[in-house]
Amino acid sequence: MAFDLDTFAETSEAVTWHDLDLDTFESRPLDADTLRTLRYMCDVEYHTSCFLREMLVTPSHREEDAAGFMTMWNREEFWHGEALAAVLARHGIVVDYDELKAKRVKLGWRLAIGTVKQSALANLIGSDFVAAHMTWGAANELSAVAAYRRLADMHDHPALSPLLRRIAQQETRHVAFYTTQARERLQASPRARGLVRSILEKYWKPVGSGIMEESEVRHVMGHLFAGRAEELDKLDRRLQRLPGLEGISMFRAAFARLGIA
Amino acid sequence: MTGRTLPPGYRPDGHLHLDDSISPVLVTDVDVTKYAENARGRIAVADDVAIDGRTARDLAYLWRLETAALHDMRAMLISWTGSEPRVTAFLATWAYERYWLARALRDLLDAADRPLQPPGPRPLSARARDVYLDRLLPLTSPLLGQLAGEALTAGHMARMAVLEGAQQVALETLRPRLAGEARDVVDEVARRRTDIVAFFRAETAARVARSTAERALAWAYLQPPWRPLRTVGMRDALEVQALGSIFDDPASLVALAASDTAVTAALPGRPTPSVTLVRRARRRRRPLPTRPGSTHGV
Repeated sequence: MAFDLDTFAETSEAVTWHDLDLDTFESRPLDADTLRTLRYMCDVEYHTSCFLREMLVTPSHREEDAAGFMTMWNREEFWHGEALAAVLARHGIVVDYDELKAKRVKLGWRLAIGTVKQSALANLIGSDFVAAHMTWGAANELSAVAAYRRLADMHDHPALSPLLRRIAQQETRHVAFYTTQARERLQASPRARGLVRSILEKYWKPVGSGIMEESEVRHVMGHLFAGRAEELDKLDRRLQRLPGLEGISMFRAAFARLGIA
Repeated sequence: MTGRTLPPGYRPDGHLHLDDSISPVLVTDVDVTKYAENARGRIAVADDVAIDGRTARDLAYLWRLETAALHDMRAMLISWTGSEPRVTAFLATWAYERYWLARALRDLLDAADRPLQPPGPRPLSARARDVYLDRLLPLTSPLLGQLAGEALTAGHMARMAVLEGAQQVALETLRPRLAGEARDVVDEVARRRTDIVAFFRAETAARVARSTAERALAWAYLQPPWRPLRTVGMRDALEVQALGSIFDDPASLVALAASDTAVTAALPGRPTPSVTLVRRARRRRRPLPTRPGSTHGV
């Protein structure tokens, strides 16, 4: 089914949590590993603007559907960050503007050079590079959905679990956009199919790898997916439906490189 | 919170990354959290709308400016301003609101049976600038942003303050030429823009008051080749016609000057880039031919 920007935009909304009783974290606080994972997720959501800027240096920013989606997506992800920060605050963890600035400033040249690299690749490869971005985005959003649902299932918590499921539900809409875009572009271009497969197999890493230390990526992904190879296989099967990605086992391979599953 | 076990690396105050090497985030009186919480979506437009040809062409021009939000955000995010979380928090909602402001103008023109058409090929200078913005700026801006640092954001904020203020004046100037539903919709677009203008003006004022470097960069960012009332600073094929038509009343130039100097009063020479551009357009504008059926870009 083609992506319907009008419907997506009209139904785009900030995730809500004010109906959830965050006071339950007083009697049922989260453990350190869960807080570490939540902090990782919170940082990734709040740094969507960094991912957005990498998308914006590709030709996709000139396309109406992609531009409209990116506008809505950026706002929705910001509110995911706000929601997770509210949970963290109940545990004495502060993710305010100063903390976010500190993170971004310390990433400094890494972020800047990342943007330059994306732009250079987009200039060299042309519009087929957008196919890579869209497929990469699909992979990221698929793994985000899986991560949120996994964490929700690990805790039968009256505040945390419904919040995570709400976030996951919004992420499924993002999956729909990215996979629709990826499918159309991969179908249209044999060059894109070869390019995207190669890029994903060699370079894809779990979402957040660009802004987090590898030790943190390993810890969080291990917390969520260690011993759960079937979850990774499910994700691979979703990607395998895309033209040119038949038989790909990108998730398994990427997690194996981290020593997980 | 006493007795809680936090993950490794956290300080007693609950921060993980923040230390004395990081300058505090600039905070003005504008409540970004409240703005984000109260984000405004689609503006309903009734079916039966009447707009004359000239006003429809002018609104089409303003629509093209409204659609440039993501391009403007791109220029900010790929540079140091992307590291300013209070600004990026504002921009996340601002871009959403700008999307719906653009949609309102498009819906209005559709309802008036004045469908949008492409404005025609851009002048060579605009096409060259397009290549620069599209291909070269993303290669240079991130690196220059790292070198220049936080002071650069003053330049971005000054630009956005002038740009949003000028678009506000344009809407208010068109208002008397509209009636009924058309006037109501343009009123709403202008009303929503008030918060946007307030944010960028407050950011600019606070930053230029803070340091000589920020004052200098704010001034520099308002110089040519950048101009407000253009899509990402690029000339539109119908710019002269549109700006000459929108701002044909001397009172509108006074309003535009006030809008510019609300931003630039503390800058050397108090530049008025919107006024400069509009004056040039008014001098160069020729009356449109009166061929029947000519739609002139609408």
